[in-house]
Amino acid sequence: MIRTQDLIKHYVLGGETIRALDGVSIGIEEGESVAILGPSGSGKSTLMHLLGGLDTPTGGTIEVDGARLGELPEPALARYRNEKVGFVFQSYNLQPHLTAIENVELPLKLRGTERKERRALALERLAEVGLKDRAGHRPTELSGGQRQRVSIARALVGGPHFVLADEPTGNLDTKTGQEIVDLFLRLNREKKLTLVVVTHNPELAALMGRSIALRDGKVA
Amino acid sequence: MRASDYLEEIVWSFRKQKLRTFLTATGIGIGSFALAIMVGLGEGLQSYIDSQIKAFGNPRVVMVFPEVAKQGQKFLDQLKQVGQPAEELTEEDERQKKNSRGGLWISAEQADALRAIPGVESVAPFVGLEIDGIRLAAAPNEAEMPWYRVDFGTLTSNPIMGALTAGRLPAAVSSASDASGAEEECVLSPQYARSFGALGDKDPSGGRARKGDASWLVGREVELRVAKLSNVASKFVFRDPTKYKSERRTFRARVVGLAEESPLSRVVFASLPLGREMARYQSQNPELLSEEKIGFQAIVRVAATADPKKVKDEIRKLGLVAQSTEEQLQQVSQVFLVLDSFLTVFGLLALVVATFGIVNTLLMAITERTREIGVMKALGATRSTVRRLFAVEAAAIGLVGGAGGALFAILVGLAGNVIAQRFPVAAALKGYSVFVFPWWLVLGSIAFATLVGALAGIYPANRAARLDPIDALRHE
Repeated sequence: MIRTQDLIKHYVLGGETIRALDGVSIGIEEGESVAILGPSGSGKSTLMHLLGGLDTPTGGTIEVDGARLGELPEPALARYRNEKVGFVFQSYNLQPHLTAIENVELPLKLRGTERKERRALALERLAEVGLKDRAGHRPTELSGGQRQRVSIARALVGGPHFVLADEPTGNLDTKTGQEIVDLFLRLNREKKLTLVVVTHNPELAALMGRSIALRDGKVA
Repeated sequence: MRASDYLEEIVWSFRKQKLRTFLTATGIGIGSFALAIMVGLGEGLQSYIDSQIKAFGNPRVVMVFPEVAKQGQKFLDQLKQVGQPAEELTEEDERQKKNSRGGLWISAEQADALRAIPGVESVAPFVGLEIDGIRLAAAPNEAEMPWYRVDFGTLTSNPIMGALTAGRLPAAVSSASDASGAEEECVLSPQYARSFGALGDKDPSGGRARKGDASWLVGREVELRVAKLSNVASKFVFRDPTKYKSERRTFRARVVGLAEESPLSRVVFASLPLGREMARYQSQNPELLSEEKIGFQAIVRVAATADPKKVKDEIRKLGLVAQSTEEQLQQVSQVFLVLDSFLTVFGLLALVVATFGIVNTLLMAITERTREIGVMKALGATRSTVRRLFAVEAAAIGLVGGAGGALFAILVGLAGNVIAQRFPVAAALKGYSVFVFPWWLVLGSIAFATLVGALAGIYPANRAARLDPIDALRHE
């Protein structure tokens, strides 16, 4: 479902070219749970940005469901992020002025879904992550674990092809982190959710079906 | 995003930054207020003048002036003389001095030529002069009445401003030769009825004047006091014309009609023979207004079937200047139009200055909300969505400020209109509102503030749209 071929990403920083990704070819199938593992500077964040359609490669190709991301114009890439990808961030990135359910609704709002329909869908997802009774709370009124659940519900609400989680347990204590991982694995198991977790934590990576280790911009 | 969602986002944004949004909108509001109040002031003047044009302007009454162009040339020649050695006095100079009232006439020949123009209904000479004072001629059993001032001199033939409210016009005399048999008659403004009627016990109106009834004046005789020209000149120095010790003469005239009350002046319209007699006395020139020189100006009435424009063109071909009373008032109106545009420019400037506030507010908001923008982009917001979001927010600030400013301008204007009525000048100008706010001005200034807001939003909105989502997500 996801294929990268000789993926290259170079940055120029202070006159120096940084080879963040240097010929990465990976494949991820539907329903898989995959960890992209590597220390900081290995290129895993860059790979995540490219897979998520937040950035475009310098060379090589990314294909998701037959569509080549590198060739998509900006609006199409935005639609790709909206429809095919569910982002989960380490620091949750919830909109502070919105309630939990409004945060979950956001991808559907951007898509132009009617208010009633998107509210129902958002409530369903919140129930799925066990936060139905917190729908009206703002992020500041929620615990870290609850915030991450809201962001998972937000990632799921649009029915994405895969969820891209960047250090999803990085800001949580061990117990809460475990709960989040359990939630991910349950969704993977029960809903056949394709899961790509980017982490430097080998323990978290070990819980995924498969690990892709990166080092210095290459698959190790 | 749906339109309602944009609206929701803006309401959120406003709520989040209440004070900042309020202050920015206030800036726009002040601009919008300045624009609305300035244009409202201009509109007040304009609508008053328009009402005067409607009431007194008549496209079929054409004033004809003798070669004014030559007068302009004379003035320019005089300007050239400034600072130069004196020139020899010519015969022409002496002639002009003798006919000291400008020396410009409508000749009988020209009057005949005017009459010959197709579409000209009548040609009447016009004589204007300074009358110093007017009083009601005392009846045999009455005591002597006091003198009153006259605003403008006499005009002959037709009261060209407004209509008659009572009586009839003075005997219409169209050429000098008819003058001998004509009566000495006049039409007055009804204000004189009030002046003459304010004499307490001696009130000749028997109290009618106090009730606003001026018709008693019709049929009474008035005395008109005219001073010799040298005294007219001194009038500009000594402002009390009723107290001249120098040579003057009193003329009698019967009031045959009352003119519509004119807000600007108290007028005396005398019949042509009377006017001529007074003018000859005033100028000390018995040749003034002879059969050859019929008047200072002429009043041409255009037949209802003819095109006034064509008639005027024909008059101009005779080397004369033609202007309808409507055009004369329109010229005044144009002066105000220029004034109006100046006022408008100041209002616009205030609004433009306020746009910098919007730019600043939005740039700050974007810096603060960089991360939120990054999240929205990650979740699928396109550049144009982000751009629209901020552009609409800018327009909304403009709209809110514009509406507030326009509303405030209306309140201030209405209050100003009430206060202005306490001042005699405004009260005397009947039907004059200092501030007038037509619907197009209210909607226009709000729309303009909105547009200006949207324009101010272009740069910040583009900046927000161009934010790199990865950088934005990293932003603290």
